Amino acid sequence: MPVANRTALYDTHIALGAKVIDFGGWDMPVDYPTHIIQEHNATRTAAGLFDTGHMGELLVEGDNALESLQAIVTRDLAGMEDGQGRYTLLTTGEGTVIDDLIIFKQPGNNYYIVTNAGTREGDAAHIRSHLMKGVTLTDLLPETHKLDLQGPKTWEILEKLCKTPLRKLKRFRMINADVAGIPSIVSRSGYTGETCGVELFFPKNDAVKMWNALMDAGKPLGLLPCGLGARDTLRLECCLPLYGHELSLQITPLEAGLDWAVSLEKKFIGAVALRRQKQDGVPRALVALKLGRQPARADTPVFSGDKNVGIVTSGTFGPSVGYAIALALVETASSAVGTNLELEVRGNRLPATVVEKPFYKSPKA
Amino acid sequence: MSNVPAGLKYSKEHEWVKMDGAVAVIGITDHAQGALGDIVFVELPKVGKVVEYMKPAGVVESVKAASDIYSPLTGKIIAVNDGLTKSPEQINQDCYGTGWIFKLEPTKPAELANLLDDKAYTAFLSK
Repeated sequence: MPVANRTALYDTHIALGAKVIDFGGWDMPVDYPTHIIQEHNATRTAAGLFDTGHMGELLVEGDNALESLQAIVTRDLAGMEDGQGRYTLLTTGEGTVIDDLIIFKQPGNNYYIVTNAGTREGDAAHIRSHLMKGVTLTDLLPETHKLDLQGPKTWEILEKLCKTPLRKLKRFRMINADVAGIPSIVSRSGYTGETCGVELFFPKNDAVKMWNALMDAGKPLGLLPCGLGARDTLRLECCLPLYGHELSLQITPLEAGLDWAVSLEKKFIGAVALRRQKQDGVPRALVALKLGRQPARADTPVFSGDKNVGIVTSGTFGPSVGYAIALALVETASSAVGTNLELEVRGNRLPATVVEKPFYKSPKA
Repeated sequence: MSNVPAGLKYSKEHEWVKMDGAVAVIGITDHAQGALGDIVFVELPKVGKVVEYMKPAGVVESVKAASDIYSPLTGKIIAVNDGLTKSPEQINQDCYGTGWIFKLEPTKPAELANLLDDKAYTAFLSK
């Protein structure tokens, strides 16, 4: 059994009393003594600081970088301005998902790719095997750390540490900025559904310095360190997919409702299969289910009467909405908003209703 | 360091028992509620049900996972804390008081000797 990876902040989390779990081969904090609900609520009303140093950063460079990437991702990457990012999927020949990524255009012919933690190495191998001549891929993780700062107080906290007017940064845009004296890349993006929030990319050696600077600046404003537990309740309330649950090698982006991230007219690995799936009618759909107070977890079977029509992909309690929530992959015939379904938990049938996505919408800044 | 009041008996599955005359009041310990995190739902056993020593008698759901509640004694359940249906967080906030889970009439009182006192449970926790 290989030893799990740890980010540069592992000792910091232990000192804060974090409960550590394995996530994709990484020892990560699931929560701190504040626990999930308080961390979740802090992110929605003040701010949350998340160690996401386990996620991947890959740099693709070269004259044919764009063409190489266009051939393997679902989204059309043409015409991006420097600093602009787009959410896309990396797919197999069957149109199923290898990973979901955000790809940022950088000056020149450079593309900065943010990947999930457990999939980084597979993504790098896949991308490498499809690069045209003269195009290189560099794994930036050995020298890079990432932190996510999310919530309404994000700008107020950063203004104490950064002279660049980050408040003006648009969604999915990244710029260079010195934060706490550390040369960083700041992108307005994240995984909480919050209107205000950033991902900070900076040298790994400065991880502890950056963490401490953000906590010192943010604590008086209500900033809390937040673990993967709150990260999951926050993203699920906003119906953001999690690779390994809503996306996998058994699910297509069309089934996951990510049509907007797929340019079917473009030529890419999996395009033919996805066009055929669209033509034949997508057989399954990812739905948002509103439950009562009792949660239903991933792999819970979904019933319509006596018929098993699907499976829960993620489920938890939503602290901002006050009820249990789930995403489920069900046959298309059972996916209309308003459909009443049942989830079988420990031999009991729990009622659930298909509702509009998202469960929670962050107020506009 | 978790709170382990004297005068109660404890199981190795982190339940506590308070004898109130012939009635046993049962809940989960401070250590258990801290380890579970925020409790969002409790599946209470039914009044009248006969539960067995160290067999599952109910379920506690935290944000992330479900955990069995084991009955530290054999007996018939005579009351459950219905307040937990609306406010499951009582178990986090006051696990030895308003967070009690069920009451039973023990049919094998000798089982009390199998349980740990506060000193033994504290020692058990520090292993």
